[in-house]
Amino acid sequence: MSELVTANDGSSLMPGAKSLENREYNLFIGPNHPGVEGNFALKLTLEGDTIVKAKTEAGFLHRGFEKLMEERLFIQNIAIVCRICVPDPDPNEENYARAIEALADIEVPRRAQFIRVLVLELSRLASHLFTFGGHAGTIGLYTMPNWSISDRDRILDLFEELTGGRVYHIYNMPGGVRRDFPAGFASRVRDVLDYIEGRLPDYDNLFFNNRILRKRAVGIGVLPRERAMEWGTTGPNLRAAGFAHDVRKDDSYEVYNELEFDIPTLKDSDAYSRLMIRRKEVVQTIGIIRQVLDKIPEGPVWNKQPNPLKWRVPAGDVYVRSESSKGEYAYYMVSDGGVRPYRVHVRGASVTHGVHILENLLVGTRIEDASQLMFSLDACPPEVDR
Amino acid sequence: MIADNYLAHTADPRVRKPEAATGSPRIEEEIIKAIQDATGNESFSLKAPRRIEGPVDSDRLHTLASLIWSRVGFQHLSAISCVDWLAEDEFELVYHFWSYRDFCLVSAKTRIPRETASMPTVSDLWQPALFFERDIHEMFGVVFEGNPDLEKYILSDWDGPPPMRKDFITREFAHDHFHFRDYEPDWDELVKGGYHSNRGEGGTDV
Amino acid sequence: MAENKLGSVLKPFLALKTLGEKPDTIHVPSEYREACDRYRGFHVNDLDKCIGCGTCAEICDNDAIRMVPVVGREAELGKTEYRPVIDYGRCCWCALCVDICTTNSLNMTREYTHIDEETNSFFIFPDENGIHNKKFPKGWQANKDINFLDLERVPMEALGPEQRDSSFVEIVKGFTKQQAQLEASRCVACGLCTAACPAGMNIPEYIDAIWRDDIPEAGRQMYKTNPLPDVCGRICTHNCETACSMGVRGEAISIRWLKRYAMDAIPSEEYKTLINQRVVESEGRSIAIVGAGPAGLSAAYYLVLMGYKVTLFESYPEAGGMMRYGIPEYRLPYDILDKDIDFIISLGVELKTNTRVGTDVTLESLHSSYDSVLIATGLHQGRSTGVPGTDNPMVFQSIDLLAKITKKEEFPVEEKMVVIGGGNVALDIARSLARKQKAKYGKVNLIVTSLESRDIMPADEEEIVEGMEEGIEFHPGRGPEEIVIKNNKIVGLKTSKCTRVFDEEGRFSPEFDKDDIELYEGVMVVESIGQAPDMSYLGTFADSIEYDGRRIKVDEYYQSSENWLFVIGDIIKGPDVITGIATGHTAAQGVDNFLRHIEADGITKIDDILRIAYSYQKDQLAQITQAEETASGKPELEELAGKLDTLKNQELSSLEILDALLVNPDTRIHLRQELPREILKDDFAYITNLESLDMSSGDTISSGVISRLSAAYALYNDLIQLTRSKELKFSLEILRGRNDQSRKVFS
Repeated sequence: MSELVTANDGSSLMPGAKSLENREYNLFIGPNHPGVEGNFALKLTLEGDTIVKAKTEAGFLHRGFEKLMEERLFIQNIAIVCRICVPDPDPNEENYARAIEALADIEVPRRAQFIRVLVLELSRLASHLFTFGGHAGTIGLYTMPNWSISDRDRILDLFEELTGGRVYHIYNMPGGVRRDFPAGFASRVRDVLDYIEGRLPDYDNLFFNNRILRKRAVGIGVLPRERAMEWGTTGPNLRAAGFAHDVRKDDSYEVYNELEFDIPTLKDSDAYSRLMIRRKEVVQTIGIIRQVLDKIPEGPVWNKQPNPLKWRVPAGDVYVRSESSKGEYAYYMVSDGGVRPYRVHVRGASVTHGVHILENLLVGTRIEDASQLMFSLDACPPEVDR
Repeated sequence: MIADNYLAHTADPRVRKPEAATGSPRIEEEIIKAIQDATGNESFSLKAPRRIEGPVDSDRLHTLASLIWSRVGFQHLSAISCVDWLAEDEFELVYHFWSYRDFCLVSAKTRIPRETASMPTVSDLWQPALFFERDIHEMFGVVFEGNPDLEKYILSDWDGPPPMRKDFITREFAHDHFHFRDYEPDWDELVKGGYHSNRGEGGTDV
Repeated sequence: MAENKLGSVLKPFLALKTLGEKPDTIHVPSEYREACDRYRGFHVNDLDKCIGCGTCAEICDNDAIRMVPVVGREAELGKTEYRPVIDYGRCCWCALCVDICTTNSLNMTREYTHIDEETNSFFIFPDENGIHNKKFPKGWQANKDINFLDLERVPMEALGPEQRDSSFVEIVKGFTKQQAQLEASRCVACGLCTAACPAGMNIPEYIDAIWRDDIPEAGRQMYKTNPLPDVCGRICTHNCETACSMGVRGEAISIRWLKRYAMDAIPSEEYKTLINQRVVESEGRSIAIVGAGPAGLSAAYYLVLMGYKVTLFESYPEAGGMMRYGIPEYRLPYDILDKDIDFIISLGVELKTNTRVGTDVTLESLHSSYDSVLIATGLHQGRSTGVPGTDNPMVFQSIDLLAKITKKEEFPVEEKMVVIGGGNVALDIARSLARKQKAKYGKVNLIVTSLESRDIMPADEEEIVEGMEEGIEFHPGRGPEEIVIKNNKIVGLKTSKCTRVFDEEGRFSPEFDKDDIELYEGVMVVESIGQAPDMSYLGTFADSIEYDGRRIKVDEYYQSSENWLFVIGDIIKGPDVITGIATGHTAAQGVDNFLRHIEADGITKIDDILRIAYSYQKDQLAQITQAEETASGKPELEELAGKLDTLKNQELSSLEILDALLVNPDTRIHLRQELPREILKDDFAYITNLESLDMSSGDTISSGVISRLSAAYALYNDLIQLTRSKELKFSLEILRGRNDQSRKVFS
């Protein structure tokens, strides 16, 4: 390493101050820290301000979902499955329901599929707003989280109206969804979308075009393009590296193949690009939701299944994938023909982003950018821990 | 500036995109043929649109995985799942490979005996496997030979048996190892009038 | 988006335009935010509508709901005395309980705030008012379209009227396997059916077995309480279906047809694998049963399995009683009846048909030849209206005619017939005669007239409807006045309008309007207004035996004042096949008690065992408290006082656990399985034989307490052995663990 110049060069007072073992020190960030997303520990070894070694530690949010799901009936699991990912719970519910539908060959009514897309996209929107706020917070731009969390609250109000709960919706069921739109819901959704669209120029002025953000985020945490696929990058992080891949297009599910939307990509693969990809996705998402509201057909919202206390799902296994706001979200479900799932394996998007990619990218960054790196990758610890 | 330094720091000259990953997308039957040609394994079959699966012997799995990467062109390891078949005394490991060229998922299933559960690692091919295998190791007890770090990740203070195994029954374990506090109220009193704090009605006036 | 790669420094100041705008946040608690229409807030429960079925507790994935007995609520047909209590520390407000509530009584409001220092106040007993007694508007409600439960039955195929109106072939076709599994999947296993069944059959268990396609298990569950399941699967009065929780908002589970499906699927040869009673050795005592009807056959089954030698006396040519000679073949085919009866006989019961007790053999001789006698002679005498003309030879009793049909004896079948009566028996004879009429004359001309108006006719609705389809004419609400006879031949039945059947107190007291007269033409009249027993065979015992009104006085085991004589069946309770079966089962137990000189309070319920443990524990606690008081007075026993205090606290908590077990219906549901053996009070003699604590010296106190602890340990061990319930096992393991600690205190 090059010669480090410290402000107070105490080498005269402390012999050996510049030897290697005295230059490196450990710093633990987390698990309770506003600079980490969720409860997550970063064990860093620094030399001066630069991180030379990084290890992540998780487990603070381990609730044992995969084991819990094996002990409960299929219907009971819909109440707990949304809690696996806190900011973006709907991909969990939808994947779980879709896995059972694939195993048991249940057809979902068209209207229910459109409603599911609506709920997924609203959840994506809310999660992105959350991330903007989080990312801004790590740089010290605190007005942005105040705005985006407050705007996200309007989306939570929509969820409350539709599903009965603000954050954990417990709305998707095998066979469809639990309730239909309340009266006038579509117009209220449009109002919220218009409002958020109207706010985007304000966000740009405040945050996305902010010089401080550009200085802080451009060139930080560059994820090398050649390594992206090997490291298992998915979702917005992959698109920021220039690959136009999205599970909604590649492995289409629900009615995404009937909706038109673009997949924005950027080339720089740094923290700023990842942030901007999410900003562009907000625009796409608003477009998707508008299309859903225009195209949604009439019809039932649930394909009636018999007594849920006695649901038996035929034996088999299935791997369902979806695109959550953070990346590729997948469920592997195995059933043995009984009333309880035999095995449910949840593959959160952050199992790659939040563990090894984060560890790789932290090396060589400065300590002040460590939090920003985590938020720019949108590494969500509840998904890692389950 | 920092980006350059970073690349130098993790110098690894391997090209990380197999040639077979480029080209126009193939349909599932062509992929199955490509797997057959590359690996000699003829048991892969189409299960559903964009889903191919097939069984592999556990000692052939690493070869198959690396051939699927290099010769068949599947770049993305989506997940490694482990299923505990207690009645058959086996673990089943399922490797899910996704192709960004063909938009198809190939699931390779392999079985290992429960007693001596061990498997060579695939983390030399895909970095995510480091985490997947570490997770399976602490939850099921499967040893992945060659994985540099199988330390516990999520359950750092746990010294009991691997908890996702089917013979680990959570309730019995909890009853054996913990004392439960009797926190239930007097049901008769609750039904008659309920409990009230000294604040009066026991709730805020909203 | 990025015109300037460096970004703007001044543009963020545009954010100042929001200064002065109304903020999005609200100030709690001075401002209140009303939740939306569908909000999943706190629960409310309409306690009268709620039937205490416990389905909400079953679906709750966090085990947050318990069913607790509520003082002041009694169990009745279709309702239990339990109501749900919710632990808000565990509830996640998923509203699955609301969606699956069988009666739609459990709902949610928009209330969402509860702040309290008292942790016990987070257990909620939802009633109509909500937990804070404030009327919050409705939140998440159950929805008719998106209904978890299947409210409609799987339809049962039956023969149409054209196919059945001239033959006695069975009307109901039965379920296929798919239909049966679909129907069985509707059941929520609430247990209201078991409570309603006179015989207490394990209905949720056999429905579950049918759903899992484990037919032998279904048969085994049925035989625990009912040795005539084929019969009941066809003609039972199904109190279970009346009580079924599905019937509150929809149609009850077709329990009777499911039973029929399961029993039809088991061939006769395999019936013997269904017995799972433990045979208790007897000393070869012999028992006589008078009457091979449902009660007699049921008693015979249970007694012969207990090891007794059983002889059945039957006056008719074949066994079956009212099942064979009263119920027509189109409802209960004879071969099905034979399937059940042959199996019971094959277990070693001696059947003597064509033997009438009273004439062929006397009751006194039975008393001397057999150790015990059960009389189950049924109600085979018809009652007459007694109106003028009933002495004409063309006036018949339905009972006689039904028996003649079975015995294939000839009797007149006329072109125009009138049946008096509105019950099931009247419908049976009417429909049988209609078939014979149709077969003989090609058309039906039969009138059924009853006192009761159409809405209160006691016959089953389906019987009346099917009877109408078969061409029977109904004239309800008419009272018989006179049978009009000309030249010794019946011309018709004169009826008056019946204005009232029951008086204000519900007693039978009909009143007529004699000015409204109608004549129903017919050359033959059949009376079916009631049945009476023929007890002439009692002989000399008729004077010595005690009566309760018109019936013989019996105790809970159907033992009469003559202790060798038991009275079962329609003559004591009913009239109903399933009730007869239940009385036979109970009386068999009573006979066994009597012959082995056992006290009638043998324990057969786990509830009773828990109560014994509980009362023992209370007694032990009292003794320990007393010993502690004694010890604290004496300085030389100070140390002992401390140990006893520790012991007392442990006993208190195990008392609480036993208390919780007693009220916990989960334990009950789990323990509805039969006990693996008969349990007697003697089995716990080691508790009752313990000596009291001697308060004089410390050593005897401590050794006395230790011996009580050993007895408690043994009791808990026995309880664990007796039950297969994991819940109980865990709770009792904890109790055992505490007592291990108690022993350490004293060693």
